[in-house]
Amino acid sequence: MSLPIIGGDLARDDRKFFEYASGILKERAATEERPGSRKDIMHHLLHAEDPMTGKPFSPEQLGIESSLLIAAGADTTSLTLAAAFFYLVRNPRVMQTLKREIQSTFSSSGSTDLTTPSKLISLPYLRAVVDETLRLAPPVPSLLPRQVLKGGITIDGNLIPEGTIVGAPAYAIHRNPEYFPEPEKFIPERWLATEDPSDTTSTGVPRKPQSVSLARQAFVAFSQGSRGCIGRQLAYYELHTALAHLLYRFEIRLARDPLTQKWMADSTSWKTGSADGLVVNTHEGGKMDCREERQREDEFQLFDQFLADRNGPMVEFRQREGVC
Amino acid sequence: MEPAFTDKSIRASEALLVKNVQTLADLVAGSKENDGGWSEAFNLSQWSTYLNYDIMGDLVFGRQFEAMTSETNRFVPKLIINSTAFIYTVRVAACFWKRPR
Repeated sequence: MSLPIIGGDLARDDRKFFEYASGILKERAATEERPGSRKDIMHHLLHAEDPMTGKPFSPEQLGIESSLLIAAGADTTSLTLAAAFFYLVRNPRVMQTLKREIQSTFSSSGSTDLTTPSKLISLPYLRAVVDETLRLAPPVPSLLPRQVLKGGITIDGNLIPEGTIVGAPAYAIHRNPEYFPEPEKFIPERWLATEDPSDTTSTGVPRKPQSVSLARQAFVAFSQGSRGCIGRQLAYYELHTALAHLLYRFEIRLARDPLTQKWMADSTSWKTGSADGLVVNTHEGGKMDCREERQREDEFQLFDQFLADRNGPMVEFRQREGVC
Repeated sequence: MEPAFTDKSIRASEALLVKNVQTLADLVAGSKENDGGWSEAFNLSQWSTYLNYDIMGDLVFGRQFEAMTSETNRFVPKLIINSTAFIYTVRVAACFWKRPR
């Protein structure tokens, strides 16, 4: 494993990525005036003005924005999608409930083409599965640092002096049992309010409207307030579309090695650099030979590097009968 | 940047989302079959990265990156992961450097 020190491969790749993003940006800007082109996100950026100066973005600013857009858009949502499958293949009850919801949506539309993302976005159980995945595997699991202002601040009974960097990691907030009873368990129902007490006992989490509302307030996968994620709604569209289509077309199971019948792990790295030494995060989740906090086998393992690194799960698909 | 992320803008991109998801589904369906009609094993961290990278290519630049269907552009997701690792290392270092007075 190459150490994540400043410089070396990581710095080289950071530079290369920026150059790559700037390159495709240049090509994209050259086609902007072509009539009838679709209004992609870059169209809006190329025509945006700085509200302070009234000037458009400089080529350098656009380069930074486009590399940010690729990283923030692709790497976050892909982690969540992998984590959702990780938890679904381990929780057959949830998988069945979700499949029922998805299949009835597709069959009532009559065809996959008519089942648009706008239809899928409103499926309540699918949304609960996505939110429960984001709770257990927030793509930015660590803290977003804040600096204590003049005069200091009292947090949880402790006086913190001014200038200190403080923060609360999403990973930790999302596992606080005050907000999320049975925090290590994957229970999408915690996001679905009901007044029926028998529904509450069946999944082991409180589902009264006030409990669900408390959970909502403590949900910070997209951060909150003025720094909240601008792509939040887009992320839900992507995740709902991908999960619904794949679960409609295929049965999915964890992959076993055909010879040994053991769960298949993928140690061949599809990445480079710092992650190589950290690849315990196959379909198995944590492992007993790792340090204590890495031993939970039912937890999708995240490796914090702002956007978390991850690997797996390894799965196999089988086409469902009569669906194409 | 808000105009690019309104409900209306996103709905205008629906067909692109579906197109990319179907590309992945077709790849899975066409993959080598093992016993009982099951596909070969897919590493979902890997494939969902290619999927989302292709979606961002379409949505941000109106351009096909083709990470799912061709290996040519797959170096970029690797760069992204290392790039954020680099920026994060610098940021954490900066937090330690800026100690409270």
